[in-house]
Amino acid sequence: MIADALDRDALLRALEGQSADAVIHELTALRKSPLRHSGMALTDRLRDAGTTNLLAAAEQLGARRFLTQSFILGYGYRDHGNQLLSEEAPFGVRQGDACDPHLDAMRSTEQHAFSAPEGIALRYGLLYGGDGEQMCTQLASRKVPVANGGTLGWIHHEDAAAATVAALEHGGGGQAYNLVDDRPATWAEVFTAMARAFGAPPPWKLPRWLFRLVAPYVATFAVDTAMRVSPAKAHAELNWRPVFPTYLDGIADMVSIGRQPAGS
Amino acid sequence: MKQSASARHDIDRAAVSVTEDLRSRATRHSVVSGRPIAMAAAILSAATMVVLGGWAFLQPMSFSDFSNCAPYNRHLVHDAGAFQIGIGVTLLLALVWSDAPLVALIGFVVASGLHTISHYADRHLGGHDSDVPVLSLHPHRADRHRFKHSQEDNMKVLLAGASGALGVPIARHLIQHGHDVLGLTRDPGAVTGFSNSALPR
Repeated sequence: MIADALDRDALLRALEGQSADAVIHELTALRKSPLRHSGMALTDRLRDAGTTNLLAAAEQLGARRFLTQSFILGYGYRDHGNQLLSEEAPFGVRQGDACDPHLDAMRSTEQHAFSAPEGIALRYGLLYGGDGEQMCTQLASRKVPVANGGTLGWIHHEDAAAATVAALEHGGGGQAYNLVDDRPATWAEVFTAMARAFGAPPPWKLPRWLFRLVAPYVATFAVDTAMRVSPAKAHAELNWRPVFPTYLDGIADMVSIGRQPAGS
Repeated sequence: MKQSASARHDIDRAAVSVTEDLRSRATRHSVVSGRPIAMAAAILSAATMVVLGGWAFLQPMSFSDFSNCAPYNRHLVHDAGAFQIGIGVTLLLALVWSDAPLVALIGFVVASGLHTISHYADRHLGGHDSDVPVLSLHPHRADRHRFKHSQEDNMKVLLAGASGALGVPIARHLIQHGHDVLGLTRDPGAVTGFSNSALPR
């Protein structure tokens, strides 16, 4: 079914006569990873206006459950020190810089989702692993730079998908869930390990100021954020555990899939 | 007062007669003895039922992981354990007593007693307030209801962003869990890619 979620009337018309029990909002415009803040504008709109329109669609479909994509960076693009972030920590609070529109959008999609009869917010960690071939090409041509930075929460695409279905089946209405694996890691650690596993040359290591200049949006988390995020609530309430507990396990799987003959 | 005193007397008399009955029957040889193969099979089956049932009843999550049946439903596993223990106890009693109705009745009491405990233990997961009193009387009115937060039933799901990097594996996991997926995407070019890669890998 093809429809633009930002065009409310067209969306509702496209869904006429349909019914559903649940709606899952995973709309983003991140096919090409944005380097600059402006590249997030459409994703931010999909999280704000897109959520409102999908809620109207859910009501028309008779769907009570509404799951929306959120992101651990909603806790703030900054150094959180040693604090272990649970779902109780303040979320989507403006910090007076170029990240504010993204924080507004994440807060908006969660608050709108919670207005559904059974609304759930999925605070994913940084996603990796679903784009092996593309990643391999980019690493081979050294297009993914690294710099010194803090630890972040990560999650393999497969684990994120399994956790989403677990939240659909077991999640409590009005709840947010941190969905990250068991081992926080820095941007540099993950992509250096990935390059090594693919047999690519090590990524260019840039000074922080140069990384910020080349990719100002990516630098806000890859360089300037440090956070430890707890998935304890998702473990307890969703009966979910990652199949790839660390980025090293996930990368090993990416490599083994890449080695399988095409079509399998 | 008078009435309840006489009722108590009746109950005492009934209890005495059941106890005497049990005593006299327990001394008799069971029909199974003298048939070693049937005896061994009954003991083996009973042990399996009691051990697996006890595991499911006491450690439902560990049992569910072992049997590898996703998604996990704590209450369903509890109930299955309760009835398995009931079957095991019935088998064991049959080795000792030849009175079929009595053996069956005690097995039933064990199974439905544990079933009632299971409903009491899982009352926070859903069910009805009337389950515990009703089940202790009429076990078969049991599990018609659905337990909240563990929706085993298949759901119809509108997945917005179904052609995205995360939408594609989510669609695959939804299908593997028996849900119906209605995919929504803005990008018509992505639709063919979606239907191919949504197949189980």
